[in-house]
Amino acid sequence: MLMNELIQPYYILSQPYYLSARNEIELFEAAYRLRMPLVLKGPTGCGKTRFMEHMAWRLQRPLITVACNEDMTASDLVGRFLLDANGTVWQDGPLTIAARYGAICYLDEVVEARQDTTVIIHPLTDNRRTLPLDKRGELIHAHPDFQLVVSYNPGYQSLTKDLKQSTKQRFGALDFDYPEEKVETNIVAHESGVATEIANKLVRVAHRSRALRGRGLEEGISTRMLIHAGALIHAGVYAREACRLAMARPITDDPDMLSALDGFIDAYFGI
Amino acid sequence: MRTSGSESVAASSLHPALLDALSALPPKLRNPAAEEELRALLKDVAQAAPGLEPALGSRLGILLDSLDVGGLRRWILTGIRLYANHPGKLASFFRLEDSAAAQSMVAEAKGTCFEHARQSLQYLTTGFGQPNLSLAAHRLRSLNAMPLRPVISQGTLLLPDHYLASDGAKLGNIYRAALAHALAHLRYSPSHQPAGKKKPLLIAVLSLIEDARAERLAIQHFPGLRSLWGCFHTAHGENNELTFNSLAARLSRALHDPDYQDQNHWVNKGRELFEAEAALGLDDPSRFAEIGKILGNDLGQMRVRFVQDLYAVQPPYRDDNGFLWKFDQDAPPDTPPEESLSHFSVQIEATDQEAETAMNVSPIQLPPGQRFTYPEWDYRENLLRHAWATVHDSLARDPTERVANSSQRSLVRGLSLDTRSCTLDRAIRLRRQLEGETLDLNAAVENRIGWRVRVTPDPRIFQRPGKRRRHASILLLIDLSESTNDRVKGFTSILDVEKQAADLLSQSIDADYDRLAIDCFRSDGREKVHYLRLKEFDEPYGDPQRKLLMQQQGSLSTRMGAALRHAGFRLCQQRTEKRILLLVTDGEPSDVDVVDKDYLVEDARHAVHNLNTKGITVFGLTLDKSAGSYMKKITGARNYIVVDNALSLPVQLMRTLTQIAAR
Repeated sequence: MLMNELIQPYYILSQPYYLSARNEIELFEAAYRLRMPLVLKGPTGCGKTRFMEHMAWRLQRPLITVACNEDMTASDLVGRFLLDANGTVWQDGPLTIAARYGAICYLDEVVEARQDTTVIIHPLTDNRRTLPLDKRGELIHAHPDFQLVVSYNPGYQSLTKDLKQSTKQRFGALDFDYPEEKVETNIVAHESGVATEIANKLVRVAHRSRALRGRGLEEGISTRMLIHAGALIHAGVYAREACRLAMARPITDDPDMLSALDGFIDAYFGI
Repeated sequence: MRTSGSESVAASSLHPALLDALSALPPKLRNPAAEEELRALLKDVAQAAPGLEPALGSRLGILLDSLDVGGLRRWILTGIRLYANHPGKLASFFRLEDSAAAQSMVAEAKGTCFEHARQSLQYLTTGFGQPNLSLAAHRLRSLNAMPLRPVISQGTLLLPDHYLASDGAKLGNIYRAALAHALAHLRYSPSHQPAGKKKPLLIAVLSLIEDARAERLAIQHFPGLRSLWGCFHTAHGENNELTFNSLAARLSRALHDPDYQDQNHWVNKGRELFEAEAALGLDDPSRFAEIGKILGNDLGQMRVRFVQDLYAVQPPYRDDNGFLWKFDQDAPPDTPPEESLSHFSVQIEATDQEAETAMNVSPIQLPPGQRFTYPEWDYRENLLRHAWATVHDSLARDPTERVANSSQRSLVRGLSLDTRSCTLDRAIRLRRQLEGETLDLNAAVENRIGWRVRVTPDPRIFQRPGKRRRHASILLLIDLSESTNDRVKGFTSILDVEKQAADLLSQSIDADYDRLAIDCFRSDGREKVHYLRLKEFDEPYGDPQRKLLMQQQGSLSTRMGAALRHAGFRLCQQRTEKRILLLVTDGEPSDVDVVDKDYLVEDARHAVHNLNTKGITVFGLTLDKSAGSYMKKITGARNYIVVDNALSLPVQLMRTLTQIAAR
């Protein structure tokens, strides 16, 4: 009963929309059968988190997502003692809950967490599959359904932000990239509600910008931005204005680059 | 008006009326940097429109008040094109008595030139899948020449260095249109087809049809291009002019714009034939060539004259179509087709990469002996002159020489930059503090437990972020001008003191934290700013570097702005948190081709300001006791010191660096 109450909110009830770009669903299912920890690598806004939600729904497992940040400590993951009227109570952290009750734990942007924080996942990600809670004197044996998945964006990580080799080598990795044109068009059309023709133009503008990655742009225009732009167009905003607002202006401040991005938009949507 | 050798030669060939006008210019319009360009332009005018110098001279002051030299050039060209064979009307244009003169002056004040558009066009080229296509400007050889069209040659797209407002530059983004048209050719058109014995007229018509086909195909992929190009199709057949130029421009428009109506049978026939083929598909150029032949034949029968020297492809964004054809070298001399299509000589201007470009796009490794061009700031015109100064960058040692065996000399004790340059780093957390930003939750819980079990609780329940030593890149830029040979005491020259200071600094840098480069510069006019790299950022400072440093001799002058910009470019490639440029000089900036003292000071100030916006701290150490007046301008009041005793320079340098690093 208690377990149900705790874990119930983490189940994903309705199917999250996800369009497979390659064979990542089969690969993930195979890895899950072995409970192999996985890294999802890919540029921002290409659908890593959505993929996780979809897989959790597909496998009928609860999904516990943790957005990692610099300030995160090991206690934030495994749990800590808190006080109540009668004394101290132990509060499980998200990783502990997932390991106890057999959820999939998804650490988003894991490189943002400091390296000494991420080492606590080591015993969970090898054949021991245990999580020691030293403060509580407890050793948790992970639930048979538990799996750990982490994500990161190899693009903008600096030299100082990287996973330790000893952490990296515990994982299998799935590469994500922006889907190919047809698939991305369908995704944008479905998520934003615009016609396929407009969605396709949006995708092709994005392709132009992605060619500038590393040549003046840190990252190209992501699928997520296209969906924003599409949603604005669907809501009645003039296409060119919507693209400028949701696609060009957010990614750069360089006037020459903005002019070039506007050039791509104009080449598809006219002036 | 100014005394220098080159000017007196230039002056001798200028009309007296223009010389008077030049010397009568108010001081704020006088600009030594632009003067050479202005004189060259006036000479061109004298050649293109002889006898009209007095007319132009009478209004030169008014014109230069609102136009820069480039703008003046475009304005003069507008006049010459408008009144090619009417010297009287051209004179009244020059005297600003013609209504078109005033209109054009307004239009050209914010005119369209390649330099402003270059960076954005280069991004567009890359985005459209041609990252290796380089863009360059080409320029009219004389003012009487036909207007330029873009030229596509091997790996380079030459774009006219300006478009006149009267060409249609005011109608839309014409450079973008020109680039898109060229990219359409590169993608869809067959290149270098043998021209054989085709007549120039036929080649022009075939090219026109190919232009339309390539644009159609491009529009299928990029629908927005229709409206981009559409802006420039302004030809109309109201007068039903039967010249080739008019008919060709109208056919181009008819093929582009389905709503366009023309009364001419030939234009309509061309459109019908084209649309009929287009309905079957656009992929096969040979079928469209047939249309071209029919239309060319018709023109022959209509006795339409084609004068290739007077024909420029319309609209002006389209290229000269030289890309499409390969002309037979031994074609008979009476019909030389080369002239018709390739008389825009393919001439790439400067081949050296713009260093500014490199700064924005990607850091590049400098090979030895590279040239860079930098802009220069002209304070009297409030104008940044593009590609004005040329920096010759070279590595002092033989680039093939191995430096790996030189080891860092041991640090000089007591002089190293200490840890005062710390920064707050949230990744470092100090736990169990007596005070801090947030509660240390674990400590707080233990504290409460302590209360409950009645033992003395630990009051340190806070946490706060810690500090970390910052990494810095330091570039020491040494002035090597002639004046550094002055003696300060006995046999010690200023240069010797500078060298000692550099030596001491190099030995005091802790390579674990900071990177140091030592560069020096001297200049010989704006075309020759010599920039010598003595020690690279990633080299240890050992005996070979020391030897190089000691070998340097003082000579020539001090063009500070260009050297600062180049040093800034080198620092921009460093990925440390702090970037410091230390400038050691013995006097104010000067150069042989500049008379105005303030010019180089203002230019250096502009360079420093730009570096500051890029996060580079520029600090000046000068040995000139009267430096207060100009160094304050260049670096700002807080960022310079005057070292009054030259021998104390090394110590002062260290002290200063420690202070800047701690800021």
